[in-house]
Amino acid sequence: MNTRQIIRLLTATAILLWSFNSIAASQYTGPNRDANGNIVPTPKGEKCVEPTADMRANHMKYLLHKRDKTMHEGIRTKQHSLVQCINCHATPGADGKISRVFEEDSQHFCSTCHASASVKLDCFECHADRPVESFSQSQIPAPNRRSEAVNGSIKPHVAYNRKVQ
Amino acid sequence: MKNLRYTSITGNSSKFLGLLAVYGVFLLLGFYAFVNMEHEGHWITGMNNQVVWGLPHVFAIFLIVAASGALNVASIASAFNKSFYKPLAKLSAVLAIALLAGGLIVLLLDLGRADRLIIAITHYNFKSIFAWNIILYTGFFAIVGVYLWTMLDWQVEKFKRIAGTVAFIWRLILTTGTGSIFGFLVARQGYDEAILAPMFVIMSFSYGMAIYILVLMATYKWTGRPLGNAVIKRLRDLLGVFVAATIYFAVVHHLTNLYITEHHGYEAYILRDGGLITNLFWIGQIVLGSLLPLALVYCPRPAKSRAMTALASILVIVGGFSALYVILIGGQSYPMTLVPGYEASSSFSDGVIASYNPSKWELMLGMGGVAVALLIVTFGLKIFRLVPESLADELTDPHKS
Amino acid sequence: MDHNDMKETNKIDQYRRKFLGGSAVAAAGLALAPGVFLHTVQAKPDDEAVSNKNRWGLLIDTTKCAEGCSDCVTACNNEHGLREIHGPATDSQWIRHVTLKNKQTGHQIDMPMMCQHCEKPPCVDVCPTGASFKRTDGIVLVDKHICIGCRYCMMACPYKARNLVHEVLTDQLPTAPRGKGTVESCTLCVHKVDRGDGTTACAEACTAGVILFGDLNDKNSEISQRLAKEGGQQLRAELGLNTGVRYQGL
Ligand code: SF4
Repeated sequence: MNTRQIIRLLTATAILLWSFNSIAASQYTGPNRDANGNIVPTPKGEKCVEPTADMRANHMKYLLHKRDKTMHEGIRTKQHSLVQCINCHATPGADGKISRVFEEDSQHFCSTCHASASVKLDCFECHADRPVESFSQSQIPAPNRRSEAVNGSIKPHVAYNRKVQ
Repeated sequence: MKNLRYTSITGNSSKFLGLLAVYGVFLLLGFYAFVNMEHEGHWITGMNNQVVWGLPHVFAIFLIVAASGALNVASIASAFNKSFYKPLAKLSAVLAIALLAGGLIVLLLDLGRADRLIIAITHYNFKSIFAWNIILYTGFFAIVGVYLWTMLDWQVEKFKRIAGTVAFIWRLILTTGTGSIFGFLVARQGYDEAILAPMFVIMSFSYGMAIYILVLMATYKWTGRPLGNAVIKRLRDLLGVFVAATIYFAVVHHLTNLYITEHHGYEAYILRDGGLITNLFWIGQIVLGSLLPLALVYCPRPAKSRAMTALASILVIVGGFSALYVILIGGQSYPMTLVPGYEASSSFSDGVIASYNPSKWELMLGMGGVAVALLIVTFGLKIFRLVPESLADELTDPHKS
Repeated sequence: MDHNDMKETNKIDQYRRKFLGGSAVAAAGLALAPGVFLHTVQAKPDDEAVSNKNRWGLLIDTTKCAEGCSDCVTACNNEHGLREIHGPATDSQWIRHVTLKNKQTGHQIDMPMMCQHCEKPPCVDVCPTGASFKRTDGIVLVDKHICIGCRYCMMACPYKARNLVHEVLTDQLPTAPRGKGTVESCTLCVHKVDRGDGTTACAEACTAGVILFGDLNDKNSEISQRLAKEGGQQLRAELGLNTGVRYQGL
């Protein structure tokens, strides 16, 4: 095989993969069901920060861009912020519970779609997959820790005695 | 020198398959360890927030350092144009590539996020010695690969000399770089010394030579090819010189430290109070890894025996592992001084010797890397015509022909 | 969302911050004893990048730090969701209470220790991917998105400030994303700084007033004024790293 043929083959493969990808993206039916007919939690609010089709195709680009802005420049607007996505989209399902990304048969907004598109979902190994309000009381950082930490109303998760030896 | 016929090994005996099976077992164990560590996180290993580089790094750095040393024979042949070593050069180049690959694989699979290999390749911080090392390693593969090509293909043979010289220079830089990974760590008492870089270069010479001798002997023995004493003698003498030089550097390193009052505590830890570390230093590195091999190489009686030369090589390897364990684990477990004159204590091992107990996973991962290296050499021998059919004395020794 | 909408959001954000900021200042005012100098830190708008106009740091008065106290440690753990998992050897400790004893005199110093937020951080120099970085306002962070977990920064840090996350984590807080295989350390409560809280969880929690957060570049800030008047030392100053955390009473 010469170089020309190799390039042609690679291009063809790329186009093929890309078209599979767009077919997968365009298969979604209705706002609250994914390709497999799973019910996806109804988001809060009127509309998303970008048109739905745009979000489906480009949310990762927006998130990536915003991620670097926040991480390195401290820009913390809500636009395209992962926390805001979660705040609106991770809502309780029919059973009243917020589905978690890594639970079995997850009905989480992100995981249903990622599961049917077979795209690995990396964010939530580190990031919270539900709004802070749904954390149990002892997990929320209180605005003013001092009084509560002192009078003991918050149970510390770790209270290493400084002389562990 | 007579014309030598290079052939690949046949590699279909049951012994050969048995050898592959042994490699396979270690490969599987190593892979299993990696999967476990990747799945569970590093808490299942002996490593912790104090000793962050453990046994896998001992293996990895040993293999990487030895890789550069394994190229010695080829360098002497090409860069210094010593025709005696020419028949030995190809194996030397393949061994170098194999050891480097084995070491790197251990290093990569021990990363906290081994799945992010692509990031390690696409994001560079050029101030980081670690990042330079990534470039040095990749370059080593490429350069030694080209060098090997010039040795195997008569059409490009005219470039052999220059390729060999470039490879020689590159591998000196590479080991200097590996040594500098530690030498540039200003924070830690045990590192932060420029002498570590040349010390690593010398260490690489002796470890690489030891491995080369063993691989050469095994290849000729197991394939029933004649291997003359002239070759063994030359390599053994080189090994002796390198081991002596390694001792010299170890002595200078510790004497300098003993002169600097600030480092007395650290030296006392390594040389006297360190328990396992101290034992590894005196028994492993000095007695078994240096003095005994020197005796085996230079005392006339054992020097005549080929088995003793092999034993000396094995001991040098044992000594190498000990030396790296002492440098790596010893250097990390010794506490840093926060405020001079004050002894610190906290929940985070301030002021105390940090503990480290290697786990089976780390050992398995490290052995997996060794298996990768040996597998590559074995396949190299089967695929390419690396070694002459005979290295008998009348073919190699200029005085006898 | 088009440009106008975006402006709209920012306005709302600003409004919200004003409201929150007002109540926070009021709360802080209540907590302060009369006569104590109160310096309010101006919050930057959410859409403005941080800049080297500020250099955030801490001043730690070790003479006030009580033996046996771990309030700052607890507060930090709560703020960032650090939990006890496999024991102190592998669990993350972003801040720790260190006790120093003079070998000759027996003199004892108690102090909290955390990332020192160096101006020339060794961790940033050695990081192969650039995951370790220093924000222009002096806060040293790990971009965990590109950290490969090589732990070279942990080798290089003279203060042992860094931790590797040794296991799979769950229930991380939205303000403190953390995950297996990446390295982390004190962020100087960067989420609070960006929110305009003007303090850190540890500083808030210390009832003895050991820890003071502030802007080292602002000559009028309390931290700068106290440093100018009373002085403050760097840990391991001989390394010339120009740390953002300064200690008194060493
Ligand atoms: S562990 Fe992460 S942050 Fe630290 S040096 Fe390695 S890549 Fe950089």
